[in-house]
Amino acid sequence: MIFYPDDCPIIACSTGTLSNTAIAVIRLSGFSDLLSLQPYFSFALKKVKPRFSHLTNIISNHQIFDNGLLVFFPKDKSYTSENVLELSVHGNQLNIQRILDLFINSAGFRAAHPGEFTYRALKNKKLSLSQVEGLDMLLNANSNLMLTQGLDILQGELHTQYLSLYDSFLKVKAAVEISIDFSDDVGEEQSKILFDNSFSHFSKILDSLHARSEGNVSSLLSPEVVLVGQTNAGKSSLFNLLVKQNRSIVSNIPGTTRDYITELIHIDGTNYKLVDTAGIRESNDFIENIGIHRAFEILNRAFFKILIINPFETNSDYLDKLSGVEFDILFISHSDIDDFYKATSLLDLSKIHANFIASASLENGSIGPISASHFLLGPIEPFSKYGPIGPHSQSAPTEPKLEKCSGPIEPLVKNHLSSKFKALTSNSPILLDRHRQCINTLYLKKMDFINKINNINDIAIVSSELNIFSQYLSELIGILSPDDVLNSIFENFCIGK
Amino acid sequence: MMYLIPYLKIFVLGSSRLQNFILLIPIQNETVLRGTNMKKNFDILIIGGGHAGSEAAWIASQFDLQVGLISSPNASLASAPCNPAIGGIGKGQVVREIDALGGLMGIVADIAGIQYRTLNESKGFAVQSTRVQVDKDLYTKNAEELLSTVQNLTIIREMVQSVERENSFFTITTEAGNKITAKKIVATTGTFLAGKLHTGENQTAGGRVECKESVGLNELFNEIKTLPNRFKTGTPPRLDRKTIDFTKLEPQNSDSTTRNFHSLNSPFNRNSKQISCYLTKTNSETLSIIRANKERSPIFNGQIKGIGPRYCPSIEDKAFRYTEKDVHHVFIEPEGLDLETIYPNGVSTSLPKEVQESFIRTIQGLENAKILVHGYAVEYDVVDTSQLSKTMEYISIPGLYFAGQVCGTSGYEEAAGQGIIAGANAALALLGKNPLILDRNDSYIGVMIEDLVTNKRDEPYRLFTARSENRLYVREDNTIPRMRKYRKELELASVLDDYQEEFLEEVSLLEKLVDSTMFYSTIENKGYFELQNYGPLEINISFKELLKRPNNNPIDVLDRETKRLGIAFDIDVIRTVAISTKYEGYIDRAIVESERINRLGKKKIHWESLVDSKNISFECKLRIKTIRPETFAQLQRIEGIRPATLAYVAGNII
Repeated sequence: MIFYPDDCPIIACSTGTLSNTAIAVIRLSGFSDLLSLQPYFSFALKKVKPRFSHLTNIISNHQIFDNGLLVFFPKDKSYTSENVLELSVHGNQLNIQRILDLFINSAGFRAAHPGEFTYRALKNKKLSLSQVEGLDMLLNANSNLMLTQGLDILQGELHTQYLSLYDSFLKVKAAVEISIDFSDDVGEEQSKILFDNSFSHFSKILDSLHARSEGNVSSLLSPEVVLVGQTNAGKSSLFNLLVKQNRSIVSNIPGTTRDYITELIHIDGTNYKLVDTAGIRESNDFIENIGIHRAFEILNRAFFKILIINPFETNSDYLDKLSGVEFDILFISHSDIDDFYKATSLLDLSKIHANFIASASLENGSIGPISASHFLLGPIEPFSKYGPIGPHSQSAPTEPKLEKCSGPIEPLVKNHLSSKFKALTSNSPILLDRHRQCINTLYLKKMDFINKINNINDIAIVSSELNIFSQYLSELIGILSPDDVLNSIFENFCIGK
Repeated sequence: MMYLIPYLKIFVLGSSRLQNFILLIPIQNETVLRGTNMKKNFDILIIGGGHAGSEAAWIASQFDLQVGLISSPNASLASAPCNPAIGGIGKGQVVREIDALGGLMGIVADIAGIQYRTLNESKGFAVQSTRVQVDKDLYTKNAEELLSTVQNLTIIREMVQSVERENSFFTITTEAGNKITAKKIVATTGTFLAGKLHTGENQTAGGRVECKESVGLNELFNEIKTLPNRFKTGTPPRLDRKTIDFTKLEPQNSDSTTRNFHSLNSPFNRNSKQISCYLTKTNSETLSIIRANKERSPIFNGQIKGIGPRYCPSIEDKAFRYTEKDVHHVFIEPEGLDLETIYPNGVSTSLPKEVQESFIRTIQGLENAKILVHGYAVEYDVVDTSQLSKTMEYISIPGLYFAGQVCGTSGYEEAAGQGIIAGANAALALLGKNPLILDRNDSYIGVMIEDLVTNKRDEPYRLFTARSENRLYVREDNTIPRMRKYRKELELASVLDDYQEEFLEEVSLLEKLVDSTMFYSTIENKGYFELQNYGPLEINISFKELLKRPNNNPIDVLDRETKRLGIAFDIDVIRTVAISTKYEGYIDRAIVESERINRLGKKKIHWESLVDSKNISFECKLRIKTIRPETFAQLQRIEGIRPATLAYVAGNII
């Protein structure tokens, strides 16, 4: 209990205080007696029906401040497990402030800190830690995925699964204890079977949770689409094409994009952060060097990576640097320039990994079509020698499906983007970092345990080894929640929640 | 000041030729045993002469105090009314802990032991325990004789009528009208408080078959809180040895490598002839007879309301709880060398006599078995142990201590363990000394007492190793290192203390040797390692490392290597050091672990809201409601609480 130890009644506007709105909701929590608030309302509070709305004037010193609705939630039926009053008032910011001041100055309320209502709900055991985490995710979601999982967690879906993991672990523990303390009663064979069965059950649940925690999910939480390419490759053009706004500075002078520029784009219910990186190249310009360094940093955590190569201005050092990166799309730009095919055939792309390749004319926003003798998409003749070009390289037909890769660029990118997102989220990945870490550690410990157990003939030690699991399981279901976990969660909350 | 206990001197000199030594000691005046000519004023009076009472009397009378033991005239002291065995998993450790404190149980068990076993022998040192089948006759006779030799202990064979407290004195009135006073009382009344026996439809008042009932605990001590639920325990029928076909049974021989309980005895000398126990099994016919008679089972037809021990279920419990399982082990245990009774361990029952007879005869080897004494169940009152302190003193009535089955435990060892703590503390309190409180981290007795006093039990409490958080440390082999500090607190300088001090000196010497010895990676040593199968010696390794290697038996290695160095150590010292070294790393980690658990355990919980919760099973809510746990640790220790409940509550604590 590190913050807000008092149980002073609190008040806040839960619908935001940045602009004027039609309606604002003001929440009051933690007052002991509803009737004590009578001086501030025209409606007779003793007639209040819990969880029904009543029309009332809000009164200060016999002067009417506002006219609105009040709803009373008694403590056994409220969000915080305290008495809660919600006022729907006119959403003018001055009006809101006047009402807040009224309760703070004369009724003994204190302005709530961000997340304090939820904190009280947690403190009063109305919500569990993971529910709070779910709420955090829900409130700060920037994708349908996060909204859905946030709500799932809030409603206890994941928690139930963790409990069943914990439950299955306790059965493993019990099997060991039975073997130690009751093998006379149960019999040696039976207790061995008990252990094997319970362990494989535990293992199965853990494996399925682990499958949902694998991979770089932070890229799903706030998915970034990164454009990489040398200066003048056409990143900014593609960026603008995708954003349909002219935010990035488009210029023919190399190196004008100093650091990186971002813009949110919305595709199929998900917000993506589109990032235009600095040209990755050696440069004497200090500022630009920082930009290049950051470009690599961004690359590592990006969800979707697009590489743009200008066949006329690409040096092989540059391509070498990118050899470890798996790109989702490789555009070879400037296809509208005359010597494009010739320049393209001179490129050495043997170190580049890309799942999809197309030529592109960024100036007019289109890709292909190009003569089959020269081009590409999948393992087409001229490129098959360039090594790993994604998953199609072995089984795909040798004939390129050119019609598929012709047309405007933007829908193509969006298509690829959203199908990758769907593929990665189809197993409903666990998004909360704390949970993922616990699950991954548990998984590693389990593998370690399986390796060890064959060499251990001392069941007391086996039992002792098993205890390691319980620590992480406890963390997973929120038994052990260091205060810093709480702090970091509540940091994200808005006022009035 | 009589600090030296006579038995110990002779015990050592006689080098465990106990039969002889008992004859050497003149048995005290018979009249004392009969209760006439008694002393009226005692420092400490023990009520009840079972395992708890005997142990309490034994330890208390080693101090310079006048001690009385009042026990029912027709029940023998320290008798074994249920199974004829001392020790068992977790319980073997308790017997050795009692022995290290200067108790009685290990001494008597060694005299009466007729079959020794090391349980869990294949499962690792930490969970190995000694169990000794005892000759019931020899056991109780020797216990009585040892107790009667103690000069400042008076044994009174009378029924207690009432106990009253005036100022700092207790006044006890016996049924014969005698009045006794005592400054401290240790009540060890077992199953005798408002006891009721059940065999089928027959119900009789009493605490044990063929023994008179004692008055209700509530009448004896009006202020004492008992648990709202009575407890129940049961015992199997006793069979006639002559009617059992042993050729059809699987014998289990006595293990000559199992160590005696009493530390001053030579470890492997047996005082009695060794015999075998036998193993047989129930079958589908056995279970179908029992299942067909559900209506006649007092446990299942509502006649018995008391709660039985889940960890020692009756055959009816097994039949109805595990409906898919028909095969259960039955251990055929002789009750003594000359006794005609056989104890069939595993078929405790309170079914009607004729049902007992028919199901017993379905079991292989028992086809013609004749029942000499029928099985029965007993229901009895239990003290609310949450009212006791860790000295076993009833907090609101200073000077009154409780120990044994009346505290809701089952098992002779559990009873004896409480008895020695209650008896010692009664004495220490009178002498104005610090109380003797055992930590749960270094003894099973400590585990048990803390479990008892921090909880209202809702079923009979039995010790097993899983109850200890520190199982890798609380072992049989290191009992003396674990218990020395407690024994020392008693300040009873005796031969036992000399032995323990010497033992510890040797342990520390051997530890130093182990710490400071290296095996160098020489050609000669490499060859030797290969010869002994010690594993590789590519680089120099310490003696410690060698002992820790998973494939080596540390005891064998340490024994062999110390001999090779030309130094002889006692095998018990070698065992302690070898096993401790082996577990060192695990124990350190377990300590860190248990500290973490302690932190969580201290978190407060709202039991009231748990009772209202939709997420907790009905059964768990009932338990929570009766026990009203205030912290997470208390909730965890409630027996029968479901893991899901624990996880739910844990998940909701911050």
